[in-house]
Amino acid sequence: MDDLESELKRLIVSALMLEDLAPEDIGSDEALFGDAGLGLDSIDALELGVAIRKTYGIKIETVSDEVRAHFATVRALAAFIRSNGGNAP
Amino acid sequence: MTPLARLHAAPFLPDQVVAFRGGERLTWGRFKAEVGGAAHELAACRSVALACQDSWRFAVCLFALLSNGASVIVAANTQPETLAALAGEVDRIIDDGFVPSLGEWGMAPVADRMLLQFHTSGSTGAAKRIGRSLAQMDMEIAALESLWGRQLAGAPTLATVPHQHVYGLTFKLLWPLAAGRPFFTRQHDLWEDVLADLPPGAILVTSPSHLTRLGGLEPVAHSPRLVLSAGAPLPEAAAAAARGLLRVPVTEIYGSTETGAVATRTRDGREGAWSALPGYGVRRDGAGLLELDAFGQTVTLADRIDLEADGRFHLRGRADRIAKIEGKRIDLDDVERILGALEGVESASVLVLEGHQPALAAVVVPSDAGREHLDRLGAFRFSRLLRKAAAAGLEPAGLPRRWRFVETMPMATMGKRRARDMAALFEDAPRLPPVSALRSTGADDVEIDLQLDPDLFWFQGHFPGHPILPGVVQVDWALHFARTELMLDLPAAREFQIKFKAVMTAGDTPTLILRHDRAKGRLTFEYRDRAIRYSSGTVYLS
Repeated sequence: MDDLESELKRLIVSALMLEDLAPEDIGSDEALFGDAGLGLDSIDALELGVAIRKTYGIKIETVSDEVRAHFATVRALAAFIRSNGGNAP
Repeated sequence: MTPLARLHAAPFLPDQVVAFRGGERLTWGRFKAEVGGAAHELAACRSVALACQDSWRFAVCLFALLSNGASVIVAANTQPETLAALAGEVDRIIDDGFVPSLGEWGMAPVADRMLLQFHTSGSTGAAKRIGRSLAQMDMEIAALESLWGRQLAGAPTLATVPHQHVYGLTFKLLWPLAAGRPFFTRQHDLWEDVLADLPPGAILVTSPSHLTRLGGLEPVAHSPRLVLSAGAPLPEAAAAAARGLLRVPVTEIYGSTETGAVATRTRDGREGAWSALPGYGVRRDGAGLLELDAFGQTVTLADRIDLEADGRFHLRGRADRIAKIEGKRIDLDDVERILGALEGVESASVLVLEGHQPALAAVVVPSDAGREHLDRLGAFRFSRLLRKAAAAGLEPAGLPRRWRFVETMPMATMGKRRARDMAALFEDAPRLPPVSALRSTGADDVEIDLQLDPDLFWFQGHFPGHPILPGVVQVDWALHFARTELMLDLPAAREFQIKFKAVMTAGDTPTLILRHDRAKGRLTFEYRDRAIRYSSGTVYLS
């Protein structure tokens, strides 16, 4: 699997304190929010935003439209971080 | 400024932009045409619950229905439980699926005695319905406009809070509409999302939920003209962080669902007293409570205040946070403060459980060190340790009798604690449903057919007339049957996830499917009835 994607899954589990969920239990294309997938809520989204900014140093000026779509799945997040020149820790 | 009741006659040009939806600019001419079309289509509705999440659609339907003289309930959210509870009371629930045709009928005036009805959880946890008249909201909006109108002319409004609550409805939707300022039709949830869309000189309507989660953001290039926060007090650290990043001090709004906005203060780093809105009178009554003169009436709020000589005031906690325990007056805020300062406690919340005798109960999030104690000592001994430590600062009646330890405090949107969820943590004797059949499908699997009799405890009182089985009870039942049928030795659940697909109500006959996954240390459960999947979830057994 993609390294950045595995790393993001570990970040999701640790940042949101999903203690009993293994990173590999999160599918790369599984919906992170809403009823269908992992079921994260809007507060989780805010926390995840903080974790991603702190880890990858994404600059907000570079963000384009439809940011929410980038947070839909782990795969989309990974693509978003790469395209914004995010630095792996 | 046009009163809402006479919005149809507002002096805006037809091509004036009212709202932004994605890249689309929605104009005043379109608004009037959609309101006219919607009013025509909804002419037969006498009572409606509005559940539109698109703010434009919400506004169109709201003015159409009010001009028809229909009664409007603002659905607090679009959860299935909420909508199911409303379904029996109204002719129709309108959501974003309703697309009005553009009418040649035009927009009609509204009687300003028309009421908008809101739901609030209320501090006691029981759902309350509160009506506010259009006339009241017009007076509130006129006061806001006299305070800020000049500096905000033309500024677009963007919100992280829903328009379904009084704060969002006024600040994100109705005030901009009346003042001819454009708003974004959707709610922005992520900061990345907010900052990508935030135009220079905008009005940002937000809350402590967002302002306490600014970590990792860069200062913005164009600061907003006004950043508003309401719903719960904003911690000083968050106010300072927001000031640095957004380059403008946060303006806090104090108010209630009953009154709308009442007072405001600027979080510029100095200890700030609250100033009432222009034209509003604030007094301290004999019991120390805030007495408000506004809208031609006097209302007493549940907050205690101290007045300054210049008429500004300080909030001193909620009056309904004073409980009578063992005959003693106990200030729950004091108890919370003392528990929160104890070693081993990250945060604490205190509530009164009404039983044959009111009892003080504490919900505690342990710190890392506290978590170690908890794991080593168990919940009861750890709670006794905390009681002993708290006894230094509290009289015996102020020491909580019952304790629950949780990972995070149950919070509703905008940072308010959910009283009902808190109380649910202490429901230790849930009434169980009759079992009509039980099939063991393996050593670690069982299927149990349940009958949800209408006389179950859980169907009394939550939503009168619309009994729904609460989520916490569904988890509790899964745990109960895991103990009795799968012989699992379970502690009280600390962590679980549950997904709701459909609501369970009295008379339903769901099958509870339980599976114990030993390898992963979790219990999964599902409530279903043939093709209907009600809910499913996981309880983590550590």
